[in-house]
Amino acid sequence: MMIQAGGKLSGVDLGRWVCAAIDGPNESVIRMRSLGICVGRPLDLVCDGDPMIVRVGSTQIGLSRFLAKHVTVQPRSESLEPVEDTAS
Amino acid sequence: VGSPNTGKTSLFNRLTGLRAKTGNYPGITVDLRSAQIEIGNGPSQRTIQLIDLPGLYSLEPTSPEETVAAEALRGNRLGKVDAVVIVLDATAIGRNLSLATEVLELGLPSVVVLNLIDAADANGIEIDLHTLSAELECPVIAVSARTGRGLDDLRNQIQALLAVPATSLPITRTNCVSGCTGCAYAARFDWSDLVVQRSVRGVSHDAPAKLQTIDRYLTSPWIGTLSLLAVMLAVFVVIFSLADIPMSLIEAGFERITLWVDRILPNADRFSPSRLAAAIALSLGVIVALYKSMGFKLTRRNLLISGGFLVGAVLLPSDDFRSLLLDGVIGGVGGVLVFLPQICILFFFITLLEDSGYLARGAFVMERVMRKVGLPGKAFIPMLSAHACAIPGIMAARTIENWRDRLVTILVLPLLTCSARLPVYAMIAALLFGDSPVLASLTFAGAYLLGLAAALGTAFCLKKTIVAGDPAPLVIELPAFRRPSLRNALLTTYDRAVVFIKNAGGVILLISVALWFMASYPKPDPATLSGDEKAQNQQSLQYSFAGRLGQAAEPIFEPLGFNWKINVGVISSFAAREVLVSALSVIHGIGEDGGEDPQGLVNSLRAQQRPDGSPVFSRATCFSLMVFYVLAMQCLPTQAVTRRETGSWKWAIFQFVYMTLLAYVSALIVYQTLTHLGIA
Repeated sequence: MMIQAGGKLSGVDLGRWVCAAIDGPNESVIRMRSLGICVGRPLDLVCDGDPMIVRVGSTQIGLSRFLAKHVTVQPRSESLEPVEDTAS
Repeated sequence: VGSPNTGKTSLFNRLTGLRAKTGNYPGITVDLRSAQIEIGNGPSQRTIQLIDLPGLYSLEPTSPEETVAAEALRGNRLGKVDAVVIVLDATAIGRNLSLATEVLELGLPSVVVLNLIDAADANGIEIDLHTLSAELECPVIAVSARTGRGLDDLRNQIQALLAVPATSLPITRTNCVSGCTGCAYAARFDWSDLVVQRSVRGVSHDAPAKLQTIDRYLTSPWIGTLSLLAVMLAVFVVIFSLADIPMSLIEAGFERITLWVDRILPNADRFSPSRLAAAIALSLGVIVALYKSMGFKLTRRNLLISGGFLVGAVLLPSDDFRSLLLDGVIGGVGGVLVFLPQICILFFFITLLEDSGYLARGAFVMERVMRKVGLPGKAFIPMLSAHACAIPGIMAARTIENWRDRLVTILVLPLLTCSARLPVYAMIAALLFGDSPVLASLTFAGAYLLGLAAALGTAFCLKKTIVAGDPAPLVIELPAFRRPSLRNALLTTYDRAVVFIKNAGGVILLISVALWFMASYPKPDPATLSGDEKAQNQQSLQYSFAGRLGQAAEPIFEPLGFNWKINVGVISSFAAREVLVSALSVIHGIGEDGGEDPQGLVNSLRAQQRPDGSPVFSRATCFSLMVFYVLAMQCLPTQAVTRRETGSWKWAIFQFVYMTLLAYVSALIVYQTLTHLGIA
């Protein structure tokens, strides 16, 4: 139930999500954002672990679990798909 | 300018070739590569300065390199910017359009370059340059740095940008950076998606299935770590086997130079042209080295000192001048330059691995391990390099964005076993277990492990104390696998080699002269010398500053089991460890070439006795000496590079002090324990 409702990126299953909120150390937040992990943007959890692999568009990002705890995600509804499909 | 992994530096190398110079700009510790290139033909030809800014993901910097790049773009660092070339990866435009828009918003005359267009073609990606250009409101050119395609167009476009007087256009782009809710990044990415949707066809999200599978293995905890170790082991095997030939060539080259200089130097005449030329060249070299590496200013006092040095060099008795030039300068500089091939091969492979996208995976895999000692995964590349030489390691530490993480990495790197320690290990292993190859190899391996353990342990302690703070959490792009360009790797290697020579060369020259002086003066009265030449050399060294220091240091080093002769070795190898072997040869009266006949040296060292008749090089002393050389900071060129990379002598001095203390205390513990256990 918790997973369906979304939650922290560190606690969810592999799959397609949308970033809902980010907090955490300032420098890391800037870096995550500049790589495409930012509020309202789709992201896929590709590979779990510490560090884990997240895909944003065509970019694969290695992310430590510590930071994943600061990223809140929601399930991605299909209505968001068009944006995701065109992301290169 | 461009994001990391867009082939920006390859493009720069392609445009500039060997003309690029890696320079230090005032006030920054970041290296910027720049080159003067000519563009245009005939009357419209002009020379422009092209600068390769460090890669960045956004104008909000999170590392020293990004700060420099962002400030340079805003015109706060390197003066006014005339035009900007924004490099994007054509295979993944959406990935770096966000940065492109950010840069375009600065309102500078810009051209967007789609690099790696050949790879995009191969993947079936079609890009509508006109639409893209219209969306971005700036010219767009497709190029391939690997094949050279589109470079002429790029040159022409740069020229066109410069021909129009720069006007700051108001940005009319309709992307809602301010109007949208929340984060500007999300807005830029959304806008990028729209642009990509309109102008790019045939984008597939997924890398080929085969590559994905390989990637999954390479990033998995066990297979990933093992394959990383295998790759690195292979690189080191190649380094040590390939470097042998050029290293012996360099050695032979320096021997030839020595012979040649020896022949042309006159025996008596101080004012002969060749002698004067040599003295002037040497003085100039020393002044330039002082200026470059010590920030020596051309004040009146310093000019007087320089003049004094020149006069001293001219007036030196012929024999002394010969010895200064041959033993001091040529021998000293050659002794360090001999490691250049290893360093070049190391840089070459690291560049190849980096361009292929593998190093990012390596850092990802190592993150788990390194974090335990408070270092980021990225520190593994410098730590690896430091096993050849600490200097390229310290230079490679730049890939670590977070300043504290970078500093800790730099501080512990010299603890790792570099090639210069190998002759010392070899000598001590032979002294200890000359008759048992297995035990000798174990001693060797033990020394490596001790260095590694000390580096990791020190990193852990530093992170808890002086440079407190957890390592910055990992956020790393894992770029798509790509075929690396040999040409680019060669150019980068050349560039790094030049930086190494510039950084280390000057310091080495200064140290060589200083150490020669310490070991040569004051000279004993010739009448008091006895015996053959070797014995006389031994007596001279004993009488010199170095010898006196060694004797004066006896109370300090005695608890470590060192006698004054070993102290002279320790002091002489203060600047470069490998000197220990030849210094011990001289001080024991074996002659300078003792190092070249290891068995002879080892045998005569074994025969040395203390006043009470016990051997000098007992097991306890050998182990203590070994531990001391694993841990002590006996390398001034490294210190100079530490100073440069950290921006102050403070950290270089700290590094020296903590390593020396660590070495002393550890050697003390080893010697005292072994002696009390009766293993003397």
